[in-house]
Amino acid sequence: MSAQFLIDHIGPLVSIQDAGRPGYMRYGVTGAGPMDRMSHALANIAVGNQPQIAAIEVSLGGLSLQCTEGKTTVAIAGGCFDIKLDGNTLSPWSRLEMQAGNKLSIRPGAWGSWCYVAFADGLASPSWLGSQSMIQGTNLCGQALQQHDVIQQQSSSTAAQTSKNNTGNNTGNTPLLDPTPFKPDNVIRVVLGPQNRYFTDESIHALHNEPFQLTADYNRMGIRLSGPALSINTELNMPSAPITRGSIQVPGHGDPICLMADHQTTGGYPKIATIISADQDKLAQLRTGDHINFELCDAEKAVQVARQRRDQLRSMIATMNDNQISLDERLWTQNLISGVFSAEQ
Amino acid sequence: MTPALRPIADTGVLVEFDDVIDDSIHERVLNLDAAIQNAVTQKAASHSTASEDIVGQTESAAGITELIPAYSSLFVGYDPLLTDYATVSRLITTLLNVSGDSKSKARHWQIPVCYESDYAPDMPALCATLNLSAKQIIAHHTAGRYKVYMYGFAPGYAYLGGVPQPIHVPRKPGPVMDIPSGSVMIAGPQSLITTVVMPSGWWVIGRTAQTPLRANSDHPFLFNVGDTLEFTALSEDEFHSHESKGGNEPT
Repeated sequence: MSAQFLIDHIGPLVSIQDAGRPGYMRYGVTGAGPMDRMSHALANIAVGNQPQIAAIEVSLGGLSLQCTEGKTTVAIAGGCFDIKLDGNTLSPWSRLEMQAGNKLSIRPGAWGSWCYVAFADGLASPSWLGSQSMIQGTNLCGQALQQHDVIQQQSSSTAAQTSKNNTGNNTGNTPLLDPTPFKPDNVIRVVLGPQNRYFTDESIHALHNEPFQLTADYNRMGIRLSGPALSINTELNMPSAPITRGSIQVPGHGDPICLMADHQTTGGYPKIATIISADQDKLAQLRTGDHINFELCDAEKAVQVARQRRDQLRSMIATMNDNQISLDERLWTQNLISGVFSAEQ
Repeated sequence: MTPALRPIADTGVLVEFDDVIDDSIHERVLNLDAAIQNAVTQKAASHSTASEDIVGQTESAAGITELIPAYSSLFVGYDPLLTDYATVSRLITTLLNVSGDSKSKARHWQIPVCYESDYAPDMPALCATLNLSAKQIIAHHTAGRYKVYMYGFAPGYAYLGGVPQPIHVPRKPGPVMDIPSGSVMIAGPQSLITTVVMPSGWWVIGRTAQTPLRANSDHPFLFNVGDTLEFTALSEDEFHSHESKGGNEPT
């Protein structure tokens, strides 16, 4: 029987996210997916799921759930949030067993802006174009979650999944990894362009030599920064052009906006630079008021960093396995590792 | 002019053909878009047809994740774990000289629009602004021959170039909330059919029952970038009978 949960409290911007909806940007449909993709994958892997499966993305607004039916395994990873199960504090990155009557509460903690609650086998929720990620402001893929909504665990579909859920040697509530080493620093690497030619030399210099600060103008579409004003060196007459996740666009007010998971797919403002994929998760985990320094990098180096990050995730999974899980599950998880990397995009 | 290839961090290449809105530039965008789609399709089918690889590029098409055509540029997205900037750039450079046969793939659509009463809330203000009658505005809008230049803003929002000059009008100073799905709007040289309820600062001059987004279909997007279309006027009664029929085929 699949488990069922009732939402007792839910903050703004909390949503169901799988790895996203790639391939439809040409039709105006953004890629969506988690703000912090690595943490999302890690939470899924910790419950034995494929890394791209739908989980709940929790914002600084927090989330409280009570299990009303069934039992299942849940894992949490992401920022360093304050996690309580029936009032008892757990490690910020934990795997836990929940059954009818248990209450899970997730509140902002020492650092981080997002965390992920993954359920064994995933969640039953509407899907559109192959993805369960909600589409903001529309009902194309379900509505925003609200207090008193019921969340249903996906019923297991394959024998393999059933066996992994019933290994019988569950370890109860266990920490996955210590999140401390993964606290984001404030260096965000960017590749200049594609429209850096529109900006004054002073603006390009300021971009990578002066600090910027995250403002409260922050959501899943983008993060507005404050800092030195970036200015255009010619009269701007640019036709609307494609936008991607990580684009740093600069509208007339001169404050850069870092475009994130739910960005629009095209737009008429010039993009001074693009944040490399490996540092997008890091930026997402910073908070309003935090300072960042941009560092220039080229495309070749950025690709290398993306591959190093895959290796980092591999070693995190290995450590997590060594920490706690049974041999059966370890084998299962190792089989998943190859699946992580094509899904990361 | 040789297009410029610009790296988009570790996840894409932006091919910039020019900085202007021009139909011949857009045709070059569409041609490259089609040529890359062909190479990606061949790559997917290469188990059986490797020997028929006409561009010799099936291998380097691996890892391409996304193609976004716009007015004068094309975004080619890639997975940095599967390929890299140099490989994708070489593919693009080769395919710039290959015909993507995009013209033959374009379709033409006739979209029936009711320009009356509540479906055209901005018509009175527009008549005042342009000093034209509603009849004249409708005649201009239905005389236009439009082309889908790109998508953006929200799922299924296709930017249609080709609004006749006499009804070019700047956007409203601010957006109006909750514009219904199926609204036909204009701003400057562009027209657009909304597909979801969203705010907009464009002028709403009509409504169609045939929105270009069929959320429940396997092919939810009616138009491809490069398709052409025209609008035809429907009375309110015709609109209501049309609404119940649904369905739309290219002409």
